Amino acid sequence: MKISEIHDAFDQKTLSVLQITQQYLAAAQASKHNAFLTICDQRALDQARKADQVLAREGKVPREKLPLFGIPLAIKDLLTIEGVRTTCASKMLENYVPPYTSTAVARLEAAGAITLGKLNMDEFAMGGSNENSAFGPVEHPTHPGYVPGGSSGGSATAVKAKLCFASLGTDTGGSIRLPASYCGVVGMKPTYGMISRFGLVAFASSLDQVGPMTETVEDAARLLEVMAGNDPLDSTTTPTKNFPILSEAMKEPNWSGLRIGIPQEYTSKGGLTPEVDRAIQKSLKWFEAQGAKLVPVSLPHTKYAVSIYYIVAVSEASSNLSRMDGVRFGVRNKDADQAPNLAGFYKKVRSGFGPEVKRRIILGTFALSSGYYDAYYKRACQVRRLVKNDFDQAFTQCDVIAAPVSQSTAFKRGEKLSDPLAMYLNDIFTIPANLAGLPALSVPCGADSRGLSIGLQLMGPQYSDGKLLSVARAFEVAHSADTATAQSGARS
Amino acid sequence: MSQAPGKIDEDLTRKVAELARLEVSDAEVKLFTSQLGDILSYITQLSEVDVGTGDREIQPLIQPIELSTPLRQDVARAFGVDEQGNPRVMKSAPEVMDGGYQVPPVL
Amino acid sequence: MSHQHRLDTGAEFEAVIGLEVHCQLATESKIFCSCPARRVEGKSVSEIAPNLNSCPICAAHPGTLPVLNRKVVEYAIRAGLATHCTIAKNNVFARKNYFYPDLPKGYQISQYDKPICENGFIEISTGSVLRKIPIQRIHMEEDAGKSVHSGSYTTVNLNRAGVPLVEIVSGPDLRSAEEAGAYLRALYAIVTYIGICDGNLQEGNFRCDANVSVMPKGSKVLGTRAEIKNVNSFKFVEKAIEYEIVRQISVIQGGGKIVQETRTYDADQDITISMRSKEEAHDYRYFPDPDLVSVQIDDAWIERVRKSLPELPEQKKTRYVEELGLSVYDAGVLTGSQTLAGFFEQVLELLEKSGIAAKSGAKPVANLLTGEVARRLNEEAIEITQSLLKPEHLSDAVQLLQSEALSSTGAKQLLSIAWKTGEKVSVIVSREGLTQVSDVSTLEPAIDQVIAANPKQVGAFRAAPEENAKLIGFFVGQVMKATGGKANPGMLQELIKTRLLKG
Repeated sequence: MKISEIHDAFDQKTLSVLQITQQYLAAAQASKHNAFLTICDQRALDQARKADQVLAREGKVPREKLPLFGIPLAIKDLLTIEGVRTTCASKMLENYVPPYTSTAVARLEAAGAITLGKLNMDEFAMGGSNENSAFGPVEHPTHPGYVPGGSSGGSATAVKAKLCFASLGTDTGGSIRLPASYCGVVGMKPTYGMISRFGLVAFASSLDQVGPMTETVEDAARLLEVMAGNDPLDSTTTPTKNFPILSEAMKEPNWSGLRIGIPQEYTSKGGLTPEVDRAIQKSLKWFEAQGAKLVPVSLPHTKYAVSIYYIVAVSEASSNLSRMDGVRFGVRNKDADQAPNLAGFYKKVRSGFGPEVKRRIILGTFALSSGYYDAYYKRACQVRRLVKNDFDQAFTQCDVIAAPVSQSTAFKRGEKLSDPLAMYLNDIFTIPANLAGLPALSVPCGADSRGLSIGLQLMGPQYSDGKLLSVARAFEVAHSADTATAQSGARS
Repeated sequence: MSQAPGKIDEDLTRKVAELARLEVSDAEVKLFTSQLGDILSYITQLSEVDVGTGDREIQPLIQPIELSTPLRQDVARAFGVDEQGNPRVMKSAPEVMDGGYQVPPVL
Repeated sequence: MSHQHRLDTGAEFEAVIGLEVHCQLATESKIFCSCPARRVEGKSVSEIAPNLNSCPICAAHPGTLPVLNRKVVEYAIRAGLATHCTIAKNNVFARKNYFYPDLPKGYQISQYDKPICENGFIEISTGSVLRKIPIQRIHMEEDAGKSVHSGSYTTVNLNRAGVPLVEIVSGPDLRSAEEAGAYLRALYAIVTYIGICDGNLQEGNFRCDANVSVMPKGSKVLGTRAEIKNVNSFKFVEKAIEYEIVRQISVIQGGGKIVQETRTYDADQDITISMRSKEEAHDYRYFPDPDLVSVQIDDAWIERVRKSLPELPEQKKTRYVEELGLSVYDAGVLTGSQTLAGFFEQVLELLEKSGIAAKSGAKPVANLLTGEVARRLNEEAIEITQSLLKPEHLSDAVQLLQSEALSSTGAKQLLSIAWKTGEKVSVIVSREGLTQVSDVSTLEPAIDQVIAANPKQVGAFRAAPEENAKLIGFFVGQVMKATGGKANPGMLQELIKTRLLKG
């Protein structure tokens, strides 16, 4: 079901906001996926009742003013909501109740959305399988025993398992696109700076972005439009105030004028499993059949992407996480106050970090320390510019780049945990878009023999988000019969 | 601290953990040193990239969208207090004494 | 005071001093958030209850981000232009990472290799020597909170966290404590003149750290330096530096080595003390702050700021000397504080209105201000506007001086009382009877009385007037005594001489 259809049901009085909210809350509470860390039942029901009052008064849904009226969403537990516990899936913040609301959520709620609760994730967004949560892993929505991908694992599972209508995830190196691909939902990372990071607990400031995870491309576009635009509270947002994302997304692509770039470095030595390779090839052929031109392009610095990421992201993270010290908020280990000195105090408090977080903080601290800064951090930033230049060059020859999201489909829980480097290499296709600040999305394009979903990634130049969504939407609509189970309607 | 890029030993792991105020057990030091060693070995591939020298040296890219820092008008606005008159921002403070955040004695 | 320190062995050392001044900027809001930076309901930020002046941003809650205050950049540009610096049109904020309870983010947002201003100078004068002291850089950064220590625990107050600072770093070009004091006073005058700093030393608006080292005279190799932090007055900075120079020389002389460390100054004992327990090798891991990055300033902005600068202390001082005929010393004292200079100029304006030209009024006013008044202002560490003196006190006094209705002694007495009570000049003069007697018909009888009472001296003078000319002074003194100091001494000289010679 789509937002427009839900609004129709509200108008026709075949569904009330309270009903749809109660249904989702019940599903969330009953589910065994461990997708939710906090369910805000009272708050959500209050919002729902107020919305129904508005509906009664207005006679119908005020769609222009409140484009997300009565739509129950769930939010990755990395974004703050005033008065609602925000844990970032970490023991360090197990009891943290923020005194302010993130801009992204504030905009969604101002547009009429209902917040059902906060979603499980990898601790501080560090991970690719949602196995790094301090509160237990998230279950794959359709294949028990498999990982949903990370770090927005809870966000993807909740959408696919119909525990919420749509969700917010965040993407630093692929954390929306990877779980979207593994779980069979739509996930979009917008252009860097399009959605405010105010209230997004920072992992890597120059890479993090908030994005929607939905069942349909159209609704991803709706959510994106509501959230996108300059925020005076975030110095890294675009100066532009509004983006007509939805209207652009609803346009039919001009197929004969569309050039789709195929990065040579992604396919030839990509190490894709045969099934993923086949699904991607099939998708590309479909585009060709519509009239689009497939253009081979080269992104020569692709092979450095993971290295750059694992220096830049962890360096920024090591600094961003320094504020977790148990002084002004957060959990304070009982032993901490007995520590003989300040250093001991901090160490006791910060022993609450999980091992992946610790590992990355150490790596980041190392990369920034004197004697190593030039060789690691500075150099990584220089090669990052070369990665961006590659894309700028490629986009003179094509309008959109198509690529896999991941080398494989979802893997079994526990399979990759012992080898962090292998986990990091899994992000090879998604990281470049974060390094270059480009919009990138994942849309389901098939499944493997076990029925595990495969995602097709589309990337575009900065600010081409609307166009990207229009191509994805056309693809999705054409393939909706193939991926029918993913599009079944909301309960009525 | 100076080591050849790509090499990390247990001593360095401990030093860095100390800088980051992280407690690491002996087992963790061993594990991290080995894992970080693998990661750093992989990362040395960056040293093969030609980043130019002098005037032609490539400018590091810090932010993918290169804007100039937006500036805010100089207007003051207090975050405020709750009904008891306590600063709203301190609601989640773990330990408060005399209106301040309490920490162990600092020499 | 010589900047060469001679030791018993005859070896000579010279001192090398660099100063880092942290100047709090007088903006309404903090540098990266909208919390008030100066006053909250009439009280200064440091006076209100702890943490009342804090928000999620300056308290570094997860997810918060900095947004730069435009005024901070403007004030930094002002500081740079007033000190002849080059303004960097592209400058960068960097994170300085370290853990301390009063540093909520675990890093300070500061500037590292691309500061906003570089390569300026200020002129200082010690005695009659004028020197240009280089200013290496000026950069913007945020202030930290305050830790309050109470025996078994410490509490953190973040009211001050995020207050904007400029850090002004001199070259290691100062050679003595006296020069350091002169530099601080000159810099203080500049930042208060251009209105970027409130200049309240008690409230910590202007804080100085001194880097001090010594080396053998003529050496090209700098010695190891010690940093003296947290000294709150110019006088104490000078004393701390003096002590430290001597301490370092004696350590070296004793065969020891200077340790690079942080020290504080104990005013009671007049010594510097090592803070080694706080000191450890800091690796600040500076990197450009990805939440802010590049501050861009265009030529038009720089020009606007340049045009808006007021007359700077050096320009004012030159004008006082060249156009008003003041001594370099007096001009220096008056321009040392913008408030004092402003007061001085108001007095001159009042005098102009009553027909006394600035050129003739300037010296007398300066005399009155640079003596007792300046001393008291220094002692109480206040600005003249915080005292009970008003420009009218000075202009009235000078008018009386010019008409000889007041003697200079009388003027001193007058100001002394005015300082305490703030009463109008006319009230004080009449009540205390300060009016100088310049009326010949009143003076002659007094002179006659004194002459009659001192026949010996009269005889001695008349016998040899040229040799005993100084006896006139004796008579002047006697008449002054007899008139309770109210006689006009200038007039007395002539009248007495005439009277004595008349026989």
